[in-house]
Amino acid sequence: MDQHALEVMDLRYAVLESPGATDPAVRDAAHYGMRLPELWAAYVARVREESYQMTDLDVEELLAAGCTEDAIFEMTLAAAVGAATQRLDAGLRAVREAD
Amino acid sequence: MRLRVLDQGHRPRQRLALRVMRLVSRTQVDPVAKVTLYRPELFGRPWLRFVESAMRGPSEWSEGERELFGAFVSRLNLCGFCVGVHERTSEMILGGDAGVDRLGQWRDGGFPPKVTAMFGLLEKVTLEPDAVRPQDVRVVRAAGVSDTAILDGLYVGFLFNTVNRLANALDFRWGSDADRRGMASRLVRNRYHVPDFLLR
Repeated sequence: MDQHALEVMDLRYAVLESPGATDPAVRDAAHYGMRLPELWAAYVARVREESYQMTDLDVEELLAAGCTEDAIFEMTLAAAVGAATQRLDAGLRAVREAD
Repeated sequence: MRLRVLDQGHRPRQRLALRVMRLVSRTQVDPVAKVTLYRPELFGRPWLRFVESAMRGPSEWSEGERELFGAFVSRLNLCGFCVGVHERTSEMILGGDAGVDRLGQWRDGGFPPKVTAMFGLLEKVTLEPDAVRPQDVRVVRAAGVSDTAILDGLYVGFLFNTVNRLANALDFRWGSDADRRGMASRLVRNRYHVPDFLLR
């Protein structure tokens, strides 16, 4: 495994498994684009695919629903790294299959 | 910052570091620094290790070309913050030939063939990841790009696909154009290196 692959693996492990305000299983779901509790589903989808449209309201709604800022931070990281990983993996797969 | 903890919630060591950064730079602190110094075991520590390696480690791509890939992906993700900083870093490193004003017309932008080919793959991977095919890689290889360089380019793409989303979601912004230029200057000068003791 090359150096960047190891570094990205370390990053993903830290984001998904470090102790935090959210259950690692929920962070996993945000990362892999899997089904999420209704509370998080819309926010994670926005981070993954429409982050350029996000406003203060996206965070305010979660805070009003009782989420802590640490939880929002963890889910934002999981979603962002997950969306980037999906794209990286698409490229890596194409390189492997291009022989 | 959209989350107050990223402005005010740092542990003492990191809070002191941010204060020193503010005093030394005499501008607002880079939002990326605030995020990476908040609970660094969660994100900042492994992130910075990766970023320094991807952007300034050994590669067939020059440092300026990797900055250009960053500005390119940031444009695709509509991340104004990252575009502003990394177009500036590209210009600082590549000089007048950077071509950042031609990134919007990159197919005819007069970039070197290898860079143009890598742009094409980064665009497909960023905007249509489910449609990426081996043929997209063969096009880049045909332009003379080695598989090692293709992988390096994809990892720069991963970097910016991550940070663009964070910047947009958490509302990164600079206070003035002087701040933007200052952030870019520090990135070029410090080469993405952050001392380990700040991340403990």
